[in-house]
Amino acid sequence: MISFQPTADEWSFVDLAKDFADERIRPLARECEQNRRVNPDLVKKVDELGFATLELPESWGGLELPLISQIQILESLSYGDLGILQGLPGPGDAASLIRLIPDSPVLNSYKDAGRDGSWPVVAFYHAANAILPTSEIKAVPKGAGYVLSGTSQPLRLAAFADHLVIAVTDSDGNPLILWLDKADNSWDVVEGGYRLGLLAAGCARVRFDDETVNEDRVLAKGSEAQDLLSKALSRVYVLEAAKEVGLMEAALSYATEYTAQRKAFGQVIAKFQGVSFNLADMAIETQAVRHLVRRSAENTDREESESVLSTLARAHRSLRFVTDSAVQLLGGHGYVQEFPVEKWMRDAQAQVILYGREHDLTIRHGVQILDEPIRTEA
Amino acid sequence: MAKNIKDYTVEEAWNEIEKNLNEDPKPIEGMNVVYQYDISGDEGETYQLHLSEGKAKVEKGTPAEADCTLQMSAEDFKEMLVGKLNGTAAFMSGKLKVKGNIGLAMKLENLLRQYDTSQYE
Amino acid sequence: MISFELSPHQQQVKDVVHWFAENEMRPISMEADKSGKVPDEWLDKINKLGIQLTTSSFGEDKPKSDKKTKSERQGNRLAVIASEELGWGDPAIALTLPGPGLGGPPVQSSGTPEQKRRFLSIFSKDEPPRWGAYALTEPEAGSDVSGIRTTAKKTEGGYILNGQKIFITNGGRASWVVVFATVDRTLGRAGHRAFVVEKDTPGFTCTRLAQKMGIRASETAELLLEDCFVPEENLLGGESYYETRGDRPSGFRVAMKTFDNTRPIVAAMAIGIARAAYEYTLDWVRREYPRHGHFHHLAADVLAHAEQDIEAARLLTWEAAWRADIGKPNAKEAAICKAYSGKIALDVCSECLELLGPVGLEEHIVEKLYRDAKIFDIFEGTNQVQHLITARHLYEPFGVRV
Repeated sequence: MISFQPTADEWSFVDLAKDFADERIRPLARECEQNRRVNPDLVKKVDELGFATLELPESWGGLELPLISQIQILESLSYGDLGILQGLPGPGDAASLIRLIPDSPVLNSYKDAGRDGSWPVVAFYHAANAILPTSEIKAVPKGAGYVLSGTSQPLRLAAFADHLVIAVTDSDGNPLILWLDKADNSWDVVEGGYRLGLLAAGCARVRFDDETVNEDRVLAKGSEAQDLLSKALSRVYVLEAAKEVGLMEAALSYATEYTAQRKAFGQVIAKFQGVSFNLADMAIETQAVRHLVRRSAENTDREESESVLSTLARAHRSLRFVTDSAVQLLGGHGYVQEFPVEKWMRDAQAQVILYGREHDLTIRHGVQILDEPIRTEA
Repeated sequence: MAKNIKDYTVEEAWNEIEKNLNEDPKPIEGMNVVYQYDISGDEGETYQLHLSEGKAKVEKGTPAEADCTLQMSAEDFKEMLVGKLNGTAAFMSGKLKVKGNIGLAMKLENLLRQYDTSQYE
Repeated sequence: MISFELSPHQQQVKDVVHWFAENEMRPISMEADKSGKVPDEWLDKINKLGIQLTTSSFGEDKPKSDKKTKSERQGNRLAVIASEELGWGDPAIALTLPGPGLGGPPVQSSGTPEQKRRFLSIFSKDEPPRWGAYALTEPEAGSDVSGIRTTAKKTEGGYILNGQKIFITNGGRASWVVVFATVDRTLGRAGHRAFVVEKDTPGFTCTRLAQKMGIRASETAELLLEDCFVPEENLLGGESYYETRGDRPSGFRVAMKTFDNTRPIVAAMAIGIARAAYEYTLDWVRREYPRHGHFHHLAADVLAHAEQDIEAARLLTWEAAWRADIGKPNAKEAAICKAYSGKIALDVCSECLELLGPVGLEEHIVEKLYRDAKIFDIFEGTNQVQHLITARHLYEPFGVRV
């Protein structure tokens, strides 16, 4: 039965998130960007309200919500500020991995560490996003363990990370996923001159200098690792796309209000079709992506084969279009930091850089379509 | 003498169908199909219509594997037989559910139209 | 809960209409485009099967006594599901299916019980195929509907209509046409009235049929009203319907309101067109293109985009239909889905033609679909009008009228 109606529980949670975004998140956006981290008070409040554990399993004290519910909540929170959302400490993208293998003994100490409700920070490196040797971590088998060397591309939360998930293909060509703890292994955090966006998200590279990693750090190997990574990333991509919808909505909403009031040539600029049609296109794209994300969420919850890759690519493309349009519609005001839209445009571009490359995601999905066994109907 | 379709039981209606089809087998010429009807309601029962070599045979239950299964209530079934309930409309409104080859279901609809059912109204 | 899965009934409607599209429409599709006509024998045949272009097939008129199942209304969702398959089959043939067509909704929503009976009961599978039509557009009034010039002058027992209508689907073959005219141009929209003008009424003629870029098998008529007398029983809704009370709609509103239901249907047909082009091309590329390298990637890129645009269009259209089903206002969503679907239908066809290369130029289904697609961004409100409506809804909370 085709329906666009959230459940009553989803409504309540979304309402809560909306209010929180308006009252607590949005007002702190600039400050957190300036400080390059999210205010600890805000972090505490987020944890209290349960927003930090939506993806974590119930056995871990998490809410274990289906993706279809999480995306609605994340959209509302992101409406407050994506930069803050991406800088919240906790398991980060690794939450989706934990969701899939909650009973792995390798995760036990992390599970214990988070019992009091504040989860140590985890950054997630996956080689899928790195195609150049300068941003590649190599894993060479040594005995039953591995030796890691090399530098990653910039990772979200790496500047604050107590743990790292490293998903690579080792030098023998076998897929591998490692869970590293600062207490047992060391790595350098390579700070960079980040100025584009998501400045509160702790982006940094991690560098290994022939670091020996024991076999007890191995979460998965071989085809199991491949499968796990693929499933985890599908979840991550759905959640990221949902956050992007929230930012689109923020930009759309702001631009609507501004253009409804700003006067030029004797009338509010909303009356010019160049403006109003642009706004209509922003609304159309936002709604289209919102639906595509919902569809991907529903299908991923059901573990049905999906087009998550192209959904994320579309989210990226539309996000750039909407945030860019918002700056454009505000004219000079759009460019200066007195108004929020320039930050949103910068955050948007940083966001899309961190999560895949649009053309690559799209083509990978297209190749899946071409190589699929022929179905009788679309 | 034929009575009003409402006065037939489903089983009797099927006997009439079998009789009419065999009396004038031209519309079923060349067909080799097993249709199954899952009739629901008070007279709920499953029937099969076997068409082959220009002959029609009605069976109760499911002696053979059906090429096409249709599900409807006894009341709607009788209405459909006399053309009071249009097959297409029945599909669309959900009164008639079809499993299996839809083409065969449409063919059956077409087929039944070719028989004069005015005596049953 | 939010879900895009089809219920078994919805799936069945899709399957049945798809069967019809594939087995009955497609076989005559290319020839119909070539000859500019849907064969009469074909129309007779399918009319006998009870197949019509009308929204009332979808369980809309369930008796109120159906208390057993408190099932949601589904008519709009079913209509868009079915329309997508009909568009996939052949849009021109779909528009030519017997039935009240676009004339149905105004009669249904504004007609008196007697008018509904009189005009809507003539479509029967036991009779020859018949059509209804909807005549709003004029040479000088397309997007700007408030500018219609067809006049209706009150006279003894009825009205005298004078004017010209163009681009009327099935206008020549229709048994009756809902004609929009004004009783007083100075009143603007408040002066608009909807009349049902019956075929062969003296003074009412079909002067010509248009030659078009696409949907060639669909009849696009010009109608002329010259001192055409229309009895007062044919004023839709009767005199009292238009009395100026705060809550009474004008003929203008009658026209506009039906768009909220018909736009998603038209959008769905556009999606069907796009999907037809996409499926054909996907199949062809899988068989004919190299399995690796430059062209493989190129095709992957194009097809992934096409698939997604189609899916996005469908979800936007389903949202508009769903809202109508549950009784929520859907004018903005109807405008959005129409704007989006109308545009991507052409884009997808064009991209598919690019992948097909010169093969697509000759007597090819995809080039026909490309020609068919274009009108879907124009009729039922142009892309620009849909943007305007969307923008209006976006600015409404701020008290700005654009």
